[in-house]
Amino acid sequence: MIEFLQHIINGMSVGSIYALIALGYTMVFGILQLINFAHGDIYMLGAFVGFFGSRYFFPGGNSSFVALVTIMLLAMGVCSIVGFAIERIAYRPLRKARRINALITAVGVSMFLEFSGQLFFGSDPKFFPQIYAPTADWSIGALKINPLQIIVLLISLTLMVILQYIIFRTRFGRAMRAVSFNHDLAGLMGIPVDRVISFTFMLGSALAGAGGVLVGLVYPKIEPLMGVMPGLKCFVAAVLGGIGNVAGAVVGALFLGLAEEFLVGYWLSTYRDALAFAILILILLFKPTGLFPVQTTEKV
Amino acid sequence: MELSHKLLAIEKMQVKRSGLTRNLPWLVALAVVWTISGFATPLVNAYYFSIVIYVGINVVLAVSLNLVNGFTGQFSMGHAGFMAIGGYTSAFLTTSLRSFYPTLMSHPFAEQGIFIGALIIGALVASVAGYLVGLPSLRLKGDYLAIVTLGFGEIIRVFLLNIEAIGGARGMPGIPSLSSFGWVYTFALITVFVIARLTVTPIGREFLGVREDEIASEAMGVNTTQAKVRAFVIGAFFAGIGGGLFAHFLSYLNPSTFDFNKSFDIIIMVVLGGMGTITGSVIAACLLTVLREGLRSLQEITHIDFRMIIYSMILILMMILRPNGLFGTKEIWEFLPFRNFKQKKKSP
Amino acid sequence: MALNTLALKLDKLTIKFGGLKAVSDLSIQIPSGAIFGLIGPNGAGKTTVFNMITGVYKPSAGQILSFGRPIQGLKPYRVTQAGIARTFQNIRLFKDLSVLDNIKIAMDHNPSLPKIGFFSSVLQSKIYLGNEYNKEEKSVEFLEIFKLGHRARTVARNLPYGDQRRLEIARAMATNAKLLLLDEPAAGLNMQESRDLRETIRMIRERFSLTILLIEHDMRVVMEICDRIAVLDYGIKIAEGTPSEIQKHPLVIEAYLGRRAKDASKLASKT
Repeated sequence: MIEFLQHIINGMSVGSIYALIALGYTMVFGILQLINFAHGDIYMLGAFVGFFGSRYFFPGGNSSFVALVTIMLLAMGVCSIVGFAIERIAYRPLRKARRINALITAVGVSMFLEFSGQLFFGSDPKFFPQIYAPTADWSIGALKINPLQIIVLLISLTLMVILQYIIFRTRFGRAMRAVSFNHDLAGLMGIPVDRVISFTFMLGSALAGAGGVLVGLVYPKIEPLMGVMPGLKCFVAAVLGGIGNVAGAVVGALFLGLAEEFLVGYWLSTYRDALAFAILILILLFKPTGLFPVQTTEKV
Repeated sequence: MELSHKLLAIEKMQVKRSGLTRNLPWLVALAVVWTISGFATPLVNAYYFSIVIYVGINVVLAVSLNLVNGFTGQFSMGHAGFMAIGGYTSAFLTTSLRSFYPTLMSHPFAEQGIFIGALIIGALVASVAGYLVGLPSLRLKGDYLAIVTLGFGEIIRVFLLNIEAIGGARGMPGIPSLSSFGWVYTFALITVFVIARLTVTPIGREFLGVREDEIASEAMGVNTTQAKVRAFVIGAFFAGIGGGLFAHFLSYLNPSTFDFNKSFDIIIMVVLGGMGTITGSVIAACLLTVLREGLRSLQEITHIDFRMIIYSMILILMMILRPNGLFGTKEIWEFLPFRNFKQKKKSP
Repeated sequence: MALNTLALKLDKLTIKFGGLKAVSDLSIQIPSGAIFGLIGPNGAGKTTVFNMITGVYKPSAGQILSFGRPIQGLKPYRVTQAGIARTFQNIRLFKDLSVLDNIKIAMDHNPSLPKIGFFSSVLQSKIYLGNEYNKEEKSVEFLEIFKLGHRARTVARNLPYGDQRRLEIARAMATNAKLLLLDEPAAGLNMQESRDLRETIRMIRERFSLTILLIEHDMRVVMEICDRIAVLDYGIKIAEGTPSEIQKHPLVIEAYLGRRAKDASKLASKT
């Protein structure tokens, strides 16, 4: 039973980080119908910004919650700028092109970030500094909880609530929803479509950046190719929840985090990376619209 | 005379020139390959020789991927997975035969025969995998299909990592080194021959129809599901051949060789050459294989691996500046001047 | 009338999308050789009927019989192989292929031509080449019928609009269709092109002893060439009859112009 609860907590903690990344996928897909392959690499970038930022601003390892928040905001800022630049330079010229071309470009951008990462950061793993390191595990009976996991979970949830607020309660959120419905119509209604799309990329990238820092905190080994697998898995999470559906992405990500944790904990540890794809294939075969579908039809 | 009748007249001439005559140029090319193989192989230095071999293998891979991605319009990102299956299967067959029946494999003819048999069995197993990957493509389009095929590639890799009989994560050493120049280029020729011929048959036209408009194809009586699965199966078959050739040249296989970077390598060749052109793929396979080696020597000087960065820049810039690749959907002879002249006269 | 002379029989055909009945209890009988018009305001469910006949949508209830054979629930390519071909409202040609290849793809599935195996095709055996030659000959013949012979090698997307419409009809005919469904063939055509289209439709009916079901908004086309017309409004058949009957039918006038407009026209006729 204790082991079971332990897995639940681990799974939720990983799942909430997946959720931060999955949200970016689902928002960009919702608005551009594009799988932003580079999204996982933005998350990697967030981790590295956190790494260099904390070495620069908080040398000597004086860790505090303030330091964590500062570093996270820094990573979110840098990532949103990179996200903006990627959209502006690589994706915007192709908005009217065939979707397959945009997809290839996304793959190209992803590879570019990964391998420039290797060039600038070196391909050997780095150890993320302990900018916020609570002293001991919390024990509830025999259950040991690493407070970091709870903090990660809480920060992720807070960010998701903020995102939910932006999308459903602000003017910009309304504009985003309008653009995702139909670019041309939204444009005719006086919505600055380009700016809304840029903002969506920035928002998604900021969340991925935050995810990067949080992962660095819990699993301190970071390297330039670290974004590839989580990137793909979070895409799966987004599809699982019904791509384009914001709340669905969170549910899908938590589900995936838990499923992986249980698979590894109880059964086949070496197949961890295959699980996400197996889920993806099953979902696409049996319910291609995901658990919480967004309505679309092809007119004949 | 009306143009359409002229067309028919040309066609009629071609019908008469059928059978052996039409296939003769390919047989001549095959003879040339084996002649070169006999005379020139020992003269070339080993490093350049390996580049030449890789060009041949990459031609097999790029042209077969183009059948799926370019001609059928189904964007597959799991070609390395099929390559891995073909490579591992054939390598497993030859290595275990060699250890169980060493006398059999010591006879050169038997050895060659077993090699070819193993290659084909490996390719058949890969095409079964292609069938299984083709099935989800019945329902999925574009990006989804791309991700699923990528996922299949990864699943294959994870499974290979977990199979002890083929070395798991340690890899599989000691594969007999049987991929000679002759065999690699024989299979490169066969791949180009089959796929080039296929694209002008009714089977190939179905592929083109599916690429252009699935709903319209279906309305014209095309079983689009079957067409897509066929494309996957044929593509996977040749990817399996490519994998087998690769395994028996390198003599060593490791699951990490077949990660998605390998799939991307092949995709870049297809995209650079142009989706839907065979000569484009062949030329891009040559260019990129040579470029990679050039960059490797640059890397020795600068100690920085520029290859993937340059590859990714090629992808992005190509998509923005020349989205149809170097050749679009045209074959190289369609760019030749006299051909253009003829066409100008045709369409008033 | 004997059952098997009906080219198409729709029996209480119904389809629901969610809770909405897009088409309800539609029954139509089209005798072999007729040109039958299906008209109605935008959103009346006309294209949905086409999509049910051709297998794109599965009807929720009802039966579709073509020449006495039930075809509802068949996959679209099977429906085509059963002798029913269609064109699309928004032209769906194979845009990057030549005009000839567009025809050939349809011809490849023409049941009257033999199919050649994989190896025979790739090695280009004599049988294969002969068969391909026949196909080319027949394709060219088709193109000539539709006055597209001189365009054989043109890429379809470069054709003028009217030619694209004609090519789509030619392509549908190349599947060896006995029943042709035309979805707004005159949409976007100018006066001359529309006149040519009417000629073409009449001509193919004679030449191929064809039955045609036609959706069209251009009343001149409908009234001039249709033998019989059914009117659909909100998924329900509100009238059926000859063109002159339909023109006078009060429900039809109401559906097209609205009650108010009808009163207004009455008023106008009084003064």
